[in-house]
Amino acid sequence: MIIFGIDALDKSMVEKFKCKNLMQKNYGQTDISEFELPKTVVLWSSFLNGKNMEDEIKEDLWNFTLPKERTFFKFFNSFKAIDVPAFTLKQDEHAMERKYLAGYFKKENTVEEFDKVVWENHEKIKKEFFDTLGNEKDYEVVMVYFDLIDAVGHLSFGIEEKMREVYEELDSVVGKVAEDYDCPILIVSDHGMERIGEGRYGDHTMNGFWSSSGEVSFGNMPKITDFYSVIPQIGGCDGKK
Amino acid sequence: MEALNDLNKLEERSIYVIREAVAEFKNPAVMWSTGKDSTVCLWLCKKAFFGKIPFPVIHIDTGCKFPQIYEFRDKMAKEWNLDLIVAKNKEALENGMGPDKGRDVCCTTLKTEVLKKVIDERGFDAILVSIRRDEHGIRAKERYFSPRDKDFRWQHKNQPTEVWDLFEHTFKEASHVRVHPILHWTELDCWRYVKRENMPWNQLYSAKFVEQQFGWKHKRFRSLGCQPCTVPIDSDASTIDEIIEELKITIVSERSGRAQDKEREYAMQKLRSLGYM
Repeated sequence: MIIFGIDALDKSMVEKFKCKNLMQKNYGQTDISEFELPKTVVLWSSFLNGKNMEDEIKEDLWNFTLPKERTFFKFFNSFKAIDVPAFTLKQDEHAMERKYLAGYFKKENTVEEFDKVVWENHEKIKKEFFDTLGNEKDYEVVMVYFDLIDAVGHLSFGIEEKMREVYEELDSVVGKVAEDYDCPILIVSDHGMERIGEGRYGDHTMNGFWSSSGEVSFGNMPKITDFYSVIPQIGGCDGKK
Repeated sequence: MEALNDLNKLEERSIYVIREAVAEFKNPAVMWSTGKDSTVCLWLCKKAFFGKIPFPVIHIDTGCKFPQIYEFRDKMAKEWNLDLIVAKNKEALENGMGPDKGRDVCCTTLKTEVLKKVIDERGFDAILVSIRRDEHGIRAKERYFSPRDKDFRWQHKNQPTEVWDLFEHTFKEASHVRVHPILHWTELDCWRYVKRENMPWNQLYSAKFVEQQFGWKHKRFRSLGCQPCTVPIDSDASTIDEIIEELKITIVSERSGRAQDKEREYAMQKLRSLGYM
């Protein structure tokens, strides 16, 4: 099984850009309105753990890490989690992105310089992900997290060309995997995104996204914590086609 | 009397900065939006050179400014015999550029790119700009003579000190130097000076005028920009005296009516609350 954790993937944008690979066979929205704030690490840790983690994660957000035993990975004999928040997040790379994000508001760097850092990190994660899939070692589940849409969206959500580019990039990554591997694929986002006012900036919404390659449907507005019990039932991977 | 002395000191320093710029640079120009700050700056330039500004005045026309801005610009340009350059990105406007493409993109295309072009074409080595330290935290770090690279970037951590009124003007890497004659003024200083000098001012700052022109009651503009991105503030001030009295007690920032600044501030606050910064 392959799980894509795609930060800020938004249903209306997937439909707007006609990202068929991201839609897969079944897709819909998640409801995260139970959370006070749509914070990335809180939402992903809740996804991994099956419980609302908002009360537990009050401080040191980005360094918060769950042990395997508190995640759905414990149900699998072998797994690989690449850059998953609250689990295997690559701290240095994400700290660098946040530094450039803050730098933009302090006018120490441009949006383009921030985008460059984000895209470089994305390419690194993508390479590691495809290397993992190409590796002879078989994992029952591989989860990869991409923050490209969220990061670019925060400063450029109002610029359609840039958003189309990042959505098409993720759509092509999923398309390549669907074409090459005979695996159940689950795509989940922590929250959606909308434009602030009439300008360029984007803000988190209280609706995430899900899609499934199989017949599994999560119905109308599942909670992000609902996936915890379903994932072990979806099953493993039969390997490369 | 004290107030007069205080304004005299501000004026004296500004005129010194303007004369230094003209003495040290071969080809300067001054930016003019028709707002109160840049109009004060033009007035000071006139005073520095005995009534006639000896360099071009650049007005960036985004095509979506208030008609009253264009009227004021043309009237004053004629009256003051200005060598006015109206710079406009006609191609981008014809291709539909506007704030709906993203405000930053719009500003870059219709303002920054246009200014780059006019600087390149006319070979300006110094541009006089009417920013003030009290406008924004980042502007508080500015110097009177401030170099910009080819992309207009400014390294605020790498600036020469300006002591004893000696301004560094040779910057090897700079595409041009920004000169800031009214850097040390405040918004209130500008209005007090407009009053003292009996200067012409754009009536969009007056609540009565705004009501006459747009039918909006109890509103006036405090900062002038493009129509889609500038909203009026709640105010009944219609005369300079009323504006001055209002500014003495206000706790709202001057650029609060600028949508771009509001959205940027809001985005920054949201990112902070979400733990990104």
